Amino acid sequence: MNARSQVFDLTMEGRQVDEAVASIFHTVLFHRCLGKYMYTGDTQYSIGTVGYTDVDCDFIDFTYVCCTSDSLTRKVKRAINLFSEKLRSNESCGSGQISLEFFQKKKNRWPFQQESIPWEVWTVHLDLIKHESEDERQLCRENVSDLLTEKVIYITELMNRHDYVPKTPSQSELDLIFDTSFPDVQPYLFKFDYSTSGSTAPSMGNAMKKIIKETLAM
Amino acid sequence: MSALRLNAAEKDLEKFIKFLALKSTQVVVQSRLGEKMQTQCNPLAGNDWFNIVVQDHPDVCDETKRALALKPGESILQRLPLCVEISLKTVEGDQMILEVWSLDLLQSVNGTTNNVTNGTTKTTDDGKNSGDTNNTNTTGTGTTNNGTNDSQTLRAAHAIYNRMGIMLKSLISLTRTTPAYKLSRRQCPESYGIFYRIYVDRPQVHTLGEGHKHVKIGQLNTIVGSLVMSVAYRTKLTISPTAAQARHTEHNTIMLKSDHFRPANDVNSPTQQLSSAAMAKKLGVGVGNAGTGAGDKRYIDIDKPLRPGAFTDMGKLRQYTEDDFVLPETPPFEWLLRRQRHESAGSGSIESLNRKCESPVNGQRVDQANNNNNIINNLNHSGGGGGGNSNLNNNSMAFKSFEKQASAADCKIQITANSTSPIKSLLIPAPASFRHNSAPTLQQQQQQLANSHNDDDNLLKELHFPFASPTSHVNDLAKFYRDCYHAPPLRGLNELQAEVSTASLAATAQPNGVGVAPVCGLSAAAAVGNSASDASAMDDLSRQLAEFETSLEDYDKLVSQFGLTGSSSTGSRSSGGLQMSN
Repeated sequence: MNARSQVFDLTMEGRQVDEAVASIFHTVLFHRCLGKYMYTGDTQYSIGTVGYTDVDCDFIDFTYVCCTSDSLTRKVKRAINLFSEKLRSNESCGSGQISLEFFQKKKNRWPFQQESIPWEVWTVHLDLIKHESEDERQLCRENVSDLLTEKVIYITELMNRHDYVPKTPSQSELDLIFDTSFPDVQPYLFKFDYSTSGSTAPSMGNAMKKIIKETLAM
Repeated sequence: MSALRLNAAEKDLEKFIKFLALKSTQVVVQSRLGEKMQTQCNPLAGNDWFNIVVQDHPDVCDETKRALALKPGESILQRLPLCVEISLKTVEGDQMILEVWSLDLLQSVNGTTNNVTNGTTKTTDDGKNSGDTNNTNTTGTGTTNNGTNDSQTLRAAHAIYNRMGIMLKSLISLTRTTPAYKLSRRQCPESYGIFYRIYVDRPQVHTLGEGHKHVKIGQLNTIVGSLVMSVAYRTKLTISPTAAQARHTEHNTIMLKSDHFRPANDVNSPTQQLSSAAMAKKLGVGVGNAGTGAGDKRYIDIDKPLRPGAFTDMGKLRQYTEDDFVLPETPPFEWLLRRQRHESAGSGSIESLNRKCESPVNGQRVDQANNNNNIINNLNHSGGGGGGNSNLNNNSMAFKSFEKQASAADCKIQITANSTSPIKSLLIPAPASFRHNSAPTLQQQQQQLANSHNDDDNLLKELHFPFASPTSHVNDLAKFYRDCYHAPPLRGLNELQAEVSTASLAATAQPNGVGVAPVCGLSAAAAVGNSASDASAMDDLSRQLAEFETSLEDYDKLVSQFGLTGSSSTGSRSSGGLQMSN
């Protein structure tokens, strides 16, 4: 299955990474979050409502909107932090990418594992730069803000296209489409993936390991 | 039947659109309030439209309803496009439209063909109207119980409802990204405020200035047409001159005169008149009149009596007669020569000043501050900085320093003793000038020589370069410098000294034992306390002080003359007139 894929290329300072990635991912997630489904029967349900929160960035002149959900925010933050630390660490050569992948699960017959089928992937590719002067830093601060504005406009444009999103299933299959672990919101199933240029080779090994592991798990 | 169903679907859609419009205005206006927003999720009892918690501001709601002006049976579809205009207003009254958010409905030619979202209009005989379930809670019903057509309609409504929710989310996200958002967060009552206006019309984007941007937030195709939400925003955020500045244009005439410091009599010159006339023409009728009026004010009529300035002491003013305006004829550059004509006519020229300098017993009207100023000035000059005097405290001061500059660096000699030519004094460094002025005795001369030798050594210290070899050129330079310093006194110098001493003896009332001629007690005390050369220097200064003090009147006179000669431009070439020429 072909997933839609969007790649954003950004260049910024290390300390801006967390906020820049968060602003993009939260904007996406805000659009991809629904209210909690409350089933009154197998097919009858009511949908809860989603609140939103303005978030001001510290290192960029930018404000973005995210769902008012602590647990969701925490999950996103943790994933971005892991990536950001790796990207900014000494062994990194200052470029990497993190992706937010929406997927749906597909049940397989018993001996086979559940399959995850991505249907939309948002990737942020980052290159780190260092600024020599405060003027330069200020200029870049504005540039990054303009860049993010552009990205948010682009995201909303894509969101309003009539592209594929998984259909709402019956209650029993809700978990195959939505992440129901959050108490206040119900986003489509999503996961984060990242790689930094310093760890490209090991990730290949990881992939192999994963394949072997999965084979053994059967 | 099918028409009825279609009608019902349309009704639902209208309702959705109406609430989308209401919520959109809320989102836009609330985002410009200047504060961070937060609304809480409600997983259980969601009663909010489009499953998004958007608080309702009653004012905004009323405003939107008023703009829409929907009559009970009227459809909102006829009232679109609905626009929310965000503008900025400064405390000065300048206004700038920042952005226009709009919700428009593009009428489709055929509702069925244009409907991309779903096959809503494939209706059959099932007449059960189930569309009304989707008002607040979007009760997504199962597919099996109801008829398939019914469920299709429902699904379509559901899809549209969800799409509208996404559109509203996009709107929420985008309201935080336009420049107006940052402006609204920074607004304060002291500088500017953000205002909104809701109207039903085509978005007036021409008010957004050049280079405004247009962003389509979303487009939703429905059976009644294509619903388009978009924003147009300003990118150039500089306020252009508006009414607030236009009010001041009549006062701009004062700015037209760029030659502010030109003498007033120049206004009479034909070129000036021409240019002012041309300016008046350029300015058009109303402003032109003001311009010429201002020009008239600047003409100075010499026939009219001169009036004193704003802060002059009326009591100290004297009435001038015709005689005062006549300057004595003096040959050009006469002031460069030695002063001999001490008994020239008593009008306010430098000659008469110098004459009075010779007899400093006259009234000591000048206060101590003036004295101090004089000392400072003289010290500056004896230090060798001929051009560095900028002390313009009063008229006499100004004039003094001016003359000093004009007389090429060593004015001291010229004003006080009138005995040495400037050229000579230029060649001889500062200590030497003391010799001329203070009529030194032999003993003092020796002291001075020793003194100058000390100075010389101090100076030469700088010429000892630590890493220079003994045969280097620097040593030659030092030798030459030393030789110049130790040059034997010129023969002519002795004659001059004799002359000066007699003159100063005649001038001073009571010479003391050292042979210097102090004028006031202050300098006398200083002279006793210090070395002989210092004493002579102080004496020299104090003598000058006294001279200036006594001739203050003459200075005043002279200055007033300059003013007069300037205005009449008759150009009598006195020495003073030459120096003050424009």
